[in-house]
Amino acid sequence: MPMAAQAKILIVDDERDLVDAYVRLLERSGYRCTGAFDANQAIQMIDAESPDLVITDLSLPDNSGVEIVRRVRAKLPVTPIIVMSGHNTPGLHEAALAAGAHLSLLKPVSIAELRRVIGEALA
Amino acid sequence: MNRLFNDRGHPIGLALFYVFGCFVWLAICVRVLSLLPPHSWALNVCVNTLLVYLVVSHYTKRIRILDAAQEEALLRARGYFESSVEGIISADGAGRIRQVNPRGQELFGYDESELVGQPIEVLVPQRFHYRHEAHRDGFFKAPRSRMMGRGMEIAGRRKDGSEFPAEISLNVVHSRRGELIIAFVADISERLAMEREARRNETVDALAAVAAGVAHELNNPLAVMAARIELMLASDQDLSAETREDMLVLQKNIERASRISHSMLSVARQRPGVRYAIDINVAVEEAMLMVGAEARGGMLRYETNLDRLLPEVMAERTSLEQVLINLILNARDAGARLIRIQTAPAPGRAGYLQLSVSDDGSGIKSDALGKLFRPFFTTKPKGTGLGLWLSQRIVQDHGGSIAVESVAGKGATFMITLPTIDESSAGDVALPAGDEPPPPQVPAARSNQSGR
Repeated sequence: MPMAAQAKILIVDDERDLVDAYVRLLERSGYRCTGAFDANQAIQMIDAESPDLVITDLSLPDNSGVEIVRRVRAKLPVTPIIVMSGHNTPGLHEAALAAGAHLSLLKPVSIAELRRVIGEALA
Repeated sequence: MNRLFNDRGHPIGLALFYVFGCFVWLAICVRVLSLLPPHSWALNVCVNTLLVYLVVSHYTKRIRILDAAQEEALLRARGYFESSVEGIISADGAGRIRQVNPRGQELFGYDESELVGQPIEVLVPQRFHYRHEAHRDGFFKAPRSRMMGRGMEIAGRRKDGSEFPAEISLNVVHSRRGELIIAFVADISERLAMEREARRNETVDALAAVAAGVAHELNNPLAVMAARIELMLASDQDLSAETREDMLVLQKNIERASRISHSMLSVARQRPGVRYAIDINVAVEEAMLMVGAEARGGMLRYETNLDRLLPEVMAERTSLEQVLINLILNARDAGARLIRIQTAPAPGRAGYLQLSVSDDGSGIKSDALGKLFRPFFTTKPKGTGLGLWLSQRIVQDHGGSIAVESVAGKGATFMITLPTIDESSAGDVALPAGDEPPPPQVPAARSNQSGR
């Protein structure tokens, strides 16, 4: 695994303002960070860039969050995946964990917490 | 026999019947005598005696049967009257009480002797008197059996002046001595309380669902705001001290809003989590570990008194731990120096256990005591007012109850009563605690703690 500071992180969320802010914040912390706003975009980036960590929202349109987890797991077997969801639906969290996500967070996730779990996942 | 005749027919009618009967008897005797050989007095006496005997024995037999049936019917009626779970009150056409059964005496707190002859209104609250009399007159104009005051509030008035909500059905019996009104009275305070509670729960559930929806919608905007403020604070551009101060206040408040949103989401869990048989003591120890009770030295002391022989409870462990964490953190916030956690069989309640958390903190003022479990009620400057409400819901979800005792300035004790396994899982297959599937390898951070 590469050093945390150069790690490539992919953030997927349909809330553009949020992705934008997260990307800028994480770049400030020294990560290489890209954002995607839907599953198609995310899957393209997974194929093209092979990120070292994927953070994805589960409540994307078409509930495609779990699909992204599957895709990452199929292509990148050891890449840590962190899922976030505002939906209080245990089923979605469990499906994501079953599909290979490492960690499930309930939104809203504070930036401090995001930094902490990213640090742990890449350690 | 006497009673039979008293209850049937008219005395004059009866006398006429006897006189008429004597004439018939004479006619029969004359007829029979004319058939016999003359001067046969001995035979005449024999035949007459035989006839009298046959007739009398026939009627006595019938009368005996009727009398026994009557006796039994009376006994049965008395049995119904005495043992009825409803109060039974009979009154005459003038509205004067004639009879009150034991349950009726119990309901209204009077002895029968105090009531007989009194107007029925002594059992009706003063404020209904006018209405009641009008209704009573209406009832006598067209008496028929019916429920009293459908759709109206009906209350009974006890001897001590207190009232109880009642359901009353009226029946009319026609007797020789006029109409008899029989009222069946049931005390429905318990049923009303249950209905109120059910309605309240429905409302709370609906509100919780709405609140969770709002909380969910607020999540993203809150997250965006938090992220942007952090970016602004972290950026190199030199913010004035005042602006920075304002931003920090904003940040603090966004965090607070997020906390509220989080609690709301855990309140409206969409389905209950999986329950396992767990040892309540393990949940206590786990919760203490999470709040750092072990590590904390110095001012705050913890004391546990755990009954290791308690039966297990069917529960969602993380939820129960959440309740305990809430209670411990509350005690801490109340400035406790000693927090005592105890598990024991529930006093006077077989099949239940009691878990209590007491502290010697600032206690709860009496006016706050009644509102403690209401949503959004808080005495803490940074509280969301959802912790105890949520705790109560979790405990109730598990078939238990939570209560509090406190004297301002002298600490507080929260007592949770939970059904143990034999009680809550009749019919269920209780899994031993060891069969609980292992938690996910990676710590499931907040999703695990704050319920799903």
